[in-house]
Parts: sequence; structure tokens; C-alpha cells
Amino acid sequence: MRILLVDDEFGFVEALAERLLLRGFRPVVALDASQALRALEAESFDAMVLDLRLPDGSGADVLRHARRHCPAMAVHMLTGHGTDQDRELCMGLGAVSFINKPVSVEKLALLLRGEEEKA
Amino acid sequence: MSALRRRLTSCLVPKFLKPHHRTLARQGFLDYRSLWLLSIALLAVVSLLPLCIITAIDYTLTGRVAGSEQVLRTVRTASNARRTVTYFLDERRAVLEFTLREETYALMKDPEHLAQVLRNMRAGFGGIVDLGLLTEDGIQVSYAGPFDLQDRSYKDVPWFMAAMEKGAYTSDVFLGFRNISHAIVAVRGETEAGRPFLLRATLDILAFSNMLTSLEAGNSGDAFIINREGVLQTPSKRYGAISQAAGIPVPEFSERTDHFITTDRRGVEVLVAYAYIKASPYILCVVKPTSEAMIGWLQPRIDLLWLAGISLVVIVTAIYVISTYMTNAIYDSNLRQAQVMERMEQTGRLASIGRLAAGVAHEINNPLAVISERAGLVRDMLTLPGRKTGREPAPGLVDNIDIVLESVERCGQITKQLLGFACKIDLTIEKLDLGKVVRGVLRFLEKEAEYRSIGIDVDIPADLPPIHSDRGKLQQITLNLVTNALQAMSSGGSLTLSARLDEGRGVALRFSDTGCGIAPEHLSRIFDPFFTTKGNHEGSGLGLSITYGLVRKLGGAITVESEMNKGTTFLVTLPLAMEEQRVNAEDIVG
Repeated sequence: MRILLVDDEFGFVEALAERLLLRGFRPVVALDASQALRALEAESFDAMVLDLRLPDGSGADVLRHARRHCPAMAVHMLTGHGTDQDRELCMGLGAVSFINKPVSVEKLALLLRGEEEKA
Repeated sequence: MSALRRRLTSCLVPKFLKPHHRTLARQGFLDYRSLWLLSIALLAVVSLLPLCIITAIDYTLTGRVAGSEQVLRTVRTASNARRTVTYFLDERRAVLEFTLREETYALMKDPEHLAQVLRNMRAGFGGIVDLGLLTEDGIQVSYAGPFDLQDRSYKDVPWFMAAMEKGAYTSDVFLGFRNISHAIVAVRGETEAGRPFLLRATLDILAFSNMLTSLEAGNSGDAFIINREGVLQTPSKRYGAISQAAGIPVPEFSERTDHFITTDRRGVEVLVAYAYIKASPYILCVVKPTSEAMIGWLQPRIDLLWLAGISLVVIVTAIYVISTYMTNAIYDSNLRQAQVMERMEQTGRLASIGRLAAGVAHEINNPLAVISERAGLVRDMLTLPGRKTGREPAPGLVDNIDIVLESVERCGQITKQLLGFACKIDLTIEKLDLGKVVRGVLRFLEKEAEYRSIGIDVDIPADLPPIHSDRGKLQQITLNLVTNALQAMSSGGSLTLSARLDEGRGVALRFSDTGCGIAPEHLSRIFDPFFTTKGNHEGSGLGLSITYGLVRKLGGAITVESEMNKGTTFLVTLPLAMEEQRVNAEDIVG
């Protein structure tokens, strides 16, 4: 299952990618919005774990783009700064879930697999 | 009744003298005691000064008018008496002059005839004791009367000489040959041969005296006649008998009736109204003590003083009531203002803390996530089959990693709670029976209360109207406050949950425990996040903060009252109905 991990916190996203890999996922890491958009154009993913605050833009913009161009891809918002307004906005834009950091990898894996089964 | 009592209390009891007043004074509010005293003093000066001045003027004027009226009355009495006495003397003199014209000397020389003339005079006019006819040599050649005075010689007697010289004369009172006080009236005539002679009559002193004693001179007043030497010519009630000195100064001559004030020989101040009697040596005096002269003014004076006294009491009472009521009103208003300011200050502080807590929680979440993932990755590397190095990890290493992960999870819980204090919470509004919700929560805590020997009483009337609110939040509020109360009663006690309809504000839910209480210096901080007095990591210090946020979220208010070692009461006021609303962090804490 191909997963796009979008987060500017390298120390976090690198470890998460490796842990997901250990659990049978095939993660690809993007450290900012432009990398994410390029990755989305280059290949297709089953799911995306997306941070809200990115150095060169908002995760919401990436979400909008993803919903337009990859409507089948499940998008999970994962943020340390999430407010309720952010949650409403993202859920309104079509995110599957809105998770606050820190999150256990097992829980995240379950969420992703749920999507995988659905797909 | 209670409203009337409250109104009466606010008019009569100065609330601001209580110790709490000093708290307000410290906060820069007015010094109510001084304000109150100043108000009383100013109002008293403004209203009592005119009253006192008017009373004093009235007192003086009324006294003066009463005094002059009394003088006038006494002078009038004297004036009337003068007319009477003058008429009496003039009449006697006229009778003698008439007799001179009608009778001849020769006839009157006959004592029998003179006695007949005396009888006629007595019958016609009265007031005459005897009659005498005296030759120019002073020999009384004819006498009619009760005494034996025939042929007596009056040649060297002063009145004889004066009468012969003046032609008509009224004498002082004197003793004479008869050795009895009497006065005479004498007129001069001429015999057929042209020789002078005198016809004289003795005046009836008793008739004279009666005329004066019949005068209205008052209880302690006196009316009498003195001569120019101040000797009494008629008896006096207070100043002695006939021929004694009266003991009052002889007044200066005056054509008219006049008066003066003097002190008599008894030391009493007296008003003397007097009149000189024409063609006689007499001075008529009406004497009254000035104290009696003013007796008529006594009643108006008492009335005036009563009126002034009653006015004084009424004004002072009104001033006290008005000043107390006004100062109480200002005090109440300022107290409310201070309470609002205090609440706003607390709310503002909590809002700031809320924003800060939210910011901190968000910033901590990212490094927490790094720690979590990195530690998790190490654990994965040690435990997951695909990444095992083949060597067994050092003993306890995985356990230590698990402790790190647990701690991270705990931190995550705390940041979530912090965000719960400050961020939006979704509400599900439904119609609720507050009693049922509260009793439902208490079922979970009954065992613990029993274990701690704490009795829980629920006093929520069955007829309390249902409220429209969020069940889950209400349960959490109740749970937090009851748990808090149970923890405050380590050695047993009682907890009372009561609810009442609070007109205009909704429902007031009261949690009263008999626990250890909260120190006064902690009361203003108990809703602050992380503020705890439990120590030893027993409490997170977020329970009451979250409760505060929830109550505000439900559109209500929470206040606390506490007394050390007596207990604490939390009062949660909730609206009867609330619309579902969206609020942000400021809404919750503000």
C-alpha cells in the first residue's frame, strides 16, 4: 500500500516512514507542499498522511489539490497545531480523519488499513 | 416581607461599616464612612441651621411682643384706676363746693344742720366719714361725725394752712387727733361777713382701698396708692400697711400713665405702672413681678420649643435615613462594580492562560511526536521480526522504551486536556431533568463516598423545570465537582447537592461540602490551569479549569465560597434553555 507522508518535521516523518515500512506499507516522504504536489503528479498513492502547517504552504491547499486530482486517495490529517476550525475545514474539504500528534503508529496503521480494505 | 425588611435595612443599617468595606476602600473606592458622615453633617447644617435661627428669632420676638403686651395691659389697668380715683376725689371735692354754695356759714355752724348735710352726702355719694367747719383761726366750730372733735384747734396743722392758702386741698393719709389713719378734702369758703372759713370732709379710706383691691392685678400683682414720699396711702398686699414706706422708688412725675421696671425690697424684679392723681399728693401704682408678667408667654414658648424639638427629631431621622440609604446605594453599586471587575479580571486572566496553554500544547505536540516516533522506531527495531538484529537487546531496554512511550502518551493526554480547556467543544443540546442527571452521576460515586464515610444529600425539587443543555458536559461538571468535594473530606463529612430556580438567571445548582475548605489566598486562583493544592502529583490542576470552561460553554457561571475547616460551596448557575452555539477559546473562558 503506497502512502505519501507529508510533514516538515524530518525527525518525525523519517521515523514514521520507517515504522510504516516495517508494517508492510510503502511510504514516500515529502517535506513540504511542493514536494508533495510533485509526488502526487509523479505517481499514485492509496493514502496520504498530511501535516497542516508546511513551510511553503498550507496542508489544506495540498488537500484541495489531492481531492481534485486524486479523488480515490484517502487523506489523513496529522497535526500538532490542529484547532477545531482546522478540523472542520479539513473534514469539509474531504479528509478522512483529523488526528492530533502524538499518535501511536498502530492506530495510524489501523486507519490506513481501513482505507486499504475499503479500496 | 423580606423585600420590606431589605428596604428597611438599607435605610437604617450602614452596611459599609462592615469589614468588607475595607476591601473596597483598598481597591480605590470611596471612603463610605466619611462620605456618610459628611452627608449627615452637610444636610444637618443646611436644614437645622435655618430651623435654629428661625426658632431663636421667633423665641425672641414672641417674648418681646408678649412682654410689651403685658406692659400695655398693666399700664391700661393703672390708667383705668387713675380715672376711678380721680373721679372719686373730684366728686367729693365737688360735693363740698356745692355745699358751700347751697349752705350758709351760719347754718353749717349749727352741728345739727351739719349732721343733716353729712347724712345727705352719705346717702347721695358715700365715701365720707365726717364733716367739719373751721374758722380762719383753725377752730373747728362745727363737727358732724363719729369722733369728738368739736372746737378742736387746727391752727398749726399743715393741711389747714395749705387748704387756707390754696382754697381746695386733698391731704396725705395721717393720724391726726383721732389717732386713726385718714385723709381729708377741704375747700375754702367765705362767711356772710366776708371772712374765710374751711369746710372739710374725712375720706373713707376703706372705700378708697376697695376701689384698688377690686382691680385685676393678677395673682401676685398689687395695686395701691403712695404719696410723693413713697409712703403707702392705701393698704398693699405685699408692700405693707397704710403709712408704711412701700419700698419702691417714687417715680418721676408724668402727665400720662407710665411704667418702669425695678427691683423691690424683696429682690423681686417688678413692673410698676403708675399715674399721678391730679390735684392730690397721690401716686397710683400697679405692681406686677416681671416673671408673672411673662406668664402669658409661657405656653407659646413651650409650644414653640416642642415644635422645634419635634422638627429636630424628624429632620435628624430623615437625614440619617436619607444619608444611610444613599450611601448604601452607592456602596452596593460599587460593590457590584468591584465584583464585576474581579470576575472580568479573572475571566481575562483565564482567557490569557487559555490561549497560552493552547499555544504551548500545540508546540509541544510536534516534539512529542518526534520522541514518540523515534522511540517507537527503536522499539520496532528491537522487537519486530523484520528488523531484528539477531542479538537479544540489553535487559530492560524495551521496558525503558515503553516507559518513554507511556510518558509521551501521558504528555499527549495533558495537552489534549489543555486544548479541551481552551478550544471548541461540540454540544448536543437536549431537554434534561437536572435531578436525574445528577443522581445518575452520583451512582458512580456512591461506593467511594461510603468508603470515605461521607453522606450525600440531594435536594433537587421534582417540580424543577427541565433545562435544555448538554448531558455529557453536565455529567462531567457534576463528576468533577463531586470528586473534588469527596477529596476535600478526608475524614468523613457530608455533601449536599441542591438546585433551585433562580429567577431571571436559570437554575442554581449548589455543591456544599463540609470539607477542609480553601484558603482565602487560593480562592481567586482555583480555576487557573495547573493550580493545585493537592501536592505529590495527586492532581493535575486541570479539573476545576475544565469544569469552569464547561460551565461557561453551557452559557452558565460558576462561583465559589469557602471557609477554612468549615467547607466549600460551588454555585453553578445554568440557563434554562440555550441554543447550540459555536464558540472559540475566548468564548469559553470569557
